[in-house]
Amino acid sequence: MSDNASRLQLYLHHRAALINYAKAVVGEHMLAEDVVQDAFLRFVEPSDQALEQPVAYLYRIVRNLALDTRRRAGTESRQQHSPPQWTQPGQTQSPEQQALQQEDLNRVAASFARLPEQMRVAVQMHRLGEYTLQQIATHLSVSVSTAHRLVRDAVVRLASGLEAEQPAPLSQPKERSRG
Amino acid sequence: MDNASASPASLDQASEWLLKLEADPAQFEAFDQWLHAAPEHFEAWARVNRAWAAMVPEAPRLATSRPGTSCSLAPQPLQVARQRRSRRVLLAAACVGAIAIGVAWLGDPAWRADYHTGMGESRVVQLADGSRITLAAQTAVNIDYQGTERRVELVRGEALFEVAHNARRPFQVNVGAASVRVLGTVFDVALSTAGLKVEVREGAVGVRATDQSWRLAAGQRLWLETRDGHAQQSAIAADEVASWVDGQQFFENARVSDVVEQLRRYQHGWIIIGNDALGQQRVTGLYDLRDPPRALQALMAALGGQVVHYSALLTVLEEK
Repeated sequence: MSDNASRLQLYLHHRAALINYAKAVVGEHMLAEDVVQDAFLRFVEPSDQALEQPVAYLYRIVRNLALDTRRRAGTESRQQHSPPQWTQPGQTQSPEQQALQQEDLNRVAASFARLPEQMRVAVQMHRLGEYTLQQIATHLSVSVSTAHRLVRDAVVRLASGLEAEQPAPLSQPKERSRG
Repeated sequence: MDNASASPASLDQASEWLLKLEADPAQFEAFDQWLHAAPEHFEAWARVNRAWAAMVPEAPRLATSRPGTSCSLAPQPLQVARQRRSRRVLLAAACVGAIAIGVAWLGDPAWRADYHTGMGESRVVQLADGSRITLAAQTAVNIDYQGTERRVELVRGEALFEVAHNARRPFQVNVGAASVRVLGTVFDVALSTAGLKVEVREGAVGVRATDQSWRLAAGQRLWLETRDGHAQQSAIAADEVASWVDGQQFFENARVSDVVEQLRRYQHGWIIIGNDALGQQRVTGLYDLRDPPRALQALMAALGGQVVHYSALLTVLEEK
């Protein structure tokens, strides 16, 4: 369980990154989410040995599944693709996961308020408004490469405001026993 | 575990790759090589993607509405919901446990189900013993009625508890390291970034946090500051407890940032406070949660600030 616990924690930390990684291969966000979900189930399958490079291992699973998915997509229509039975409706994210995402959201929102005006507008237009870098450049009266730099630097600043992955407190004894 | 921290240079590169891949997914192989070139690249890539994902406030809710998201089994084994100092362990164990037990749990949500609400939503949960929990927006609770005690975990947000009296089965609300314990009463518990608030409408409750404890009677409130653990007890009119149930929220000498945090649960998109000093200012007033734009106008009018709408998704509060 403790090994699984740290694997899950690692997975949650990398989940958004894995989805974007898979998306580059399979093309669609929802498909990428399914791939990553599937990879997680394999990642937590019981194994005898501790992994030396769990992150690289997790990425390798995602990569292989994503490539499989892309190959299958060539021979199979989209409608036939269905997630495993147990992920069918009736489930939601766990409150804990929502809380984790809410924490990220709060941190990002706080960093966002501190961005220089131009940077704020650029990243907002790109991420929330889905404007192209060209459109942003025109709107801000700057070059496309400047628009690119503004968005990139904004993402760096927002990412810097997030906490790095913390080691799982596995050695900690249970705080509370039952009853 | 790879626990490399990400250098500014690798964050730069990761951010660059994020934009490149978005524009041209065909560069995947080159990107994959960069990613595997150093452990810190994984960390940098994880961080920029978390920031990227967090920028769209709706993402968690969208994910909720479709299957296939991680750890998505709602009913969770209860042994696990009991250890809560370390949320990461809890989270891990809850998910892994749920997956291990698998389909069996799906057929039996009953009293083990979790309840949560989304943006601007509230929900009344009627419990088997006649107790009732009203969830404010963006609130999540786990319920455990299994043992000799009635236990509820407030994972986030705010809820009004109307507890049916049962001297032999105490009712306990766990919130992080704190707990609120009662026999039968009506009280409100709210968890925010700034701290934990407990307000009692009827009866009395005991609150424990780390090594301190308090007893609150009707018309009393307790505020525990997250930052330094500072505790403050004050009086509140009993009918002002949980006024949010009727769509109104009374704030007394509250920070602007606290009011805004509350309003964020009722408005789609972002509400940003332009600078820290503005967020630290204090206000007292009754705000209508059902109409966040109007509440924000009222809030800023009181302070001589202004509300700027950059887009449907972005509202910024600024000093004039």
